[in-house]
Amino acid sequence: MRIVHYLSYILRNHKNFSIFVFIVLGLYSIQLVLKVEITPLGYFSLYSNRSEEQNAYYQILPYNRSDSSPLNIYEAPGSGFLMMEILPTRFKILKESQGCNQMSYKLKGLGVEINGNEDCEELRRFNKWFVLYTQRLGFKKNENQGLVEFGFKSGFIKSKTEIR
Amino acid sequence: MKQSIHYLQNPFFWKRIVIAFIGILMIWFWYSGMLLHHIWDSPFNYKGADISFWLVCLFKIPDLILLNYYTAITFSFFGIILLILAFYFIENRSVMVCLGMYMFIYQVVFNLKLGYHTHHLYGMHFALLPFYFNIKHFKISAEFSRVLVCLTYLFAGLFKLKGMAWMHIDSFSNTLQNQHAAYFHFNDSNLRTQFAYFLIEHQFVSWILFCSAMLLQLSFVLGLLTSKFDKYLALFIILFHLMDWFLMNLGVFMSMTILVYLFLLPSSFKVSKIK
Repeated sequence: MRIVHYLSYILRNHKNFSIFVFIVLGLYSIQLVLKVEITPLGYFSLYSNRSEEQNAYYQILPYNRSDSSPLNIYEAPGSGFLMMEILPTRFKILKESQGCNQMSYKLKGLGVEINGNEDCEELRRFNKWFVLYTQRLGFKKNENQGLVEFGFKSGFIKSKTEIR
Repeated sequence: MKQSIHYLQNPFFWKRIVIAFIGILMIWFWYSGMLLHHIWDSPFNYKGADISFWLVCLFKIPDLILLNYYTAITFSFFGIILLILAFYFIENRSVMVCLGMYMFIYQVVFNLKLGYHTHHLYGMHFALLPFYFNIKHFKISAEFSRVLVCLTYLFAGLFKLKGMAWMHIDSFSNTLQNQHAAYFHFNDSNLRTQFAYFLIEHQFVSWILFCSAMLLQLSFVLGLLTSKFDKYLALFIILFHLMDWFLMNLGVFMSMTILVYLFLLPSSFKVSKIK
């Protein structure tokens, strides 16, 4: 087996390099057991679990309060739309997490308690900051911009819930 | 007389390819508003449970880099300068080590401000790893990088196997609806939308596609056992990320395609040739 041959070869001939290799593999193993995001192992496992059919599929988008329309984030330059997808979604997730840290339960399990007050306080300025970021991506300045969680089905808007 | 070696046998040729690729990628991220100075003042400070994030914060590194917009943009520029230096002084390992450390700090601080520990830069880390060591060790370090790549894809496949989505014919159709919820609203007739709708309507076809993606990932176990299939694994990486871009609109992970070079190195760099 190639991997066994490789490991035995570096153990015999490159002691220092083999220490590096085993440290990295050790970190991988710890991550695999604890799942604390040290390495990408297991985190390219998107879509592993079953997706159930829903009445609507939700996505948070910038929203123009004056004409009640969602902003077309796909007009952002290059891959910028991904940031427009990720940032509001993370805001919602972190805001709703204990101590504004999605992994606080994991830290608790490891014996570390965090209060996260400072992080939660910071999150209060997200809406305002996101208006600024939207501008940075080349969209027009809009003081009336809000964040809305839209429920979509086959491209049609089924529901709207403002995120504050 | 100076001995000439074929350029493919020269590790510095591969190094230049990798650095040039990363340079182009950084420019693309800059254009896309996806660099650190675009989000330097975001309200996120997400450390998760990852010790590297807590350590970086403990040493107040983000405070230094994100002091203001100018320090943040200087840090982004610094990455470009390091890439240029590493490309120009191709035999200088110190620049390379600096670049590696920079990339690590960059990723941690970027993720901190993004509020999400995304791994879109991991392709770069794996691709750069063989060049951090003395060039005499290129064979063993490139092989180690190759092992890490195989493990990454293999585990992604294993998690899919464990997650059981493949047991449900409709699962990937529902995933597509979820992934493109807003995309369908704004792009109702382009090729991606039409193809996604076709898959949503034909659940069996989408299930086949999902299973084939899982099998592509699982096939990386072969890379740990032998080097005979390396060319196919290189092709699988490209296929997988093309599919990820076209079907899931996750073009950002196309950066991982640089990893194919680890599977295309000449046989003289293969571990089987090491006695």
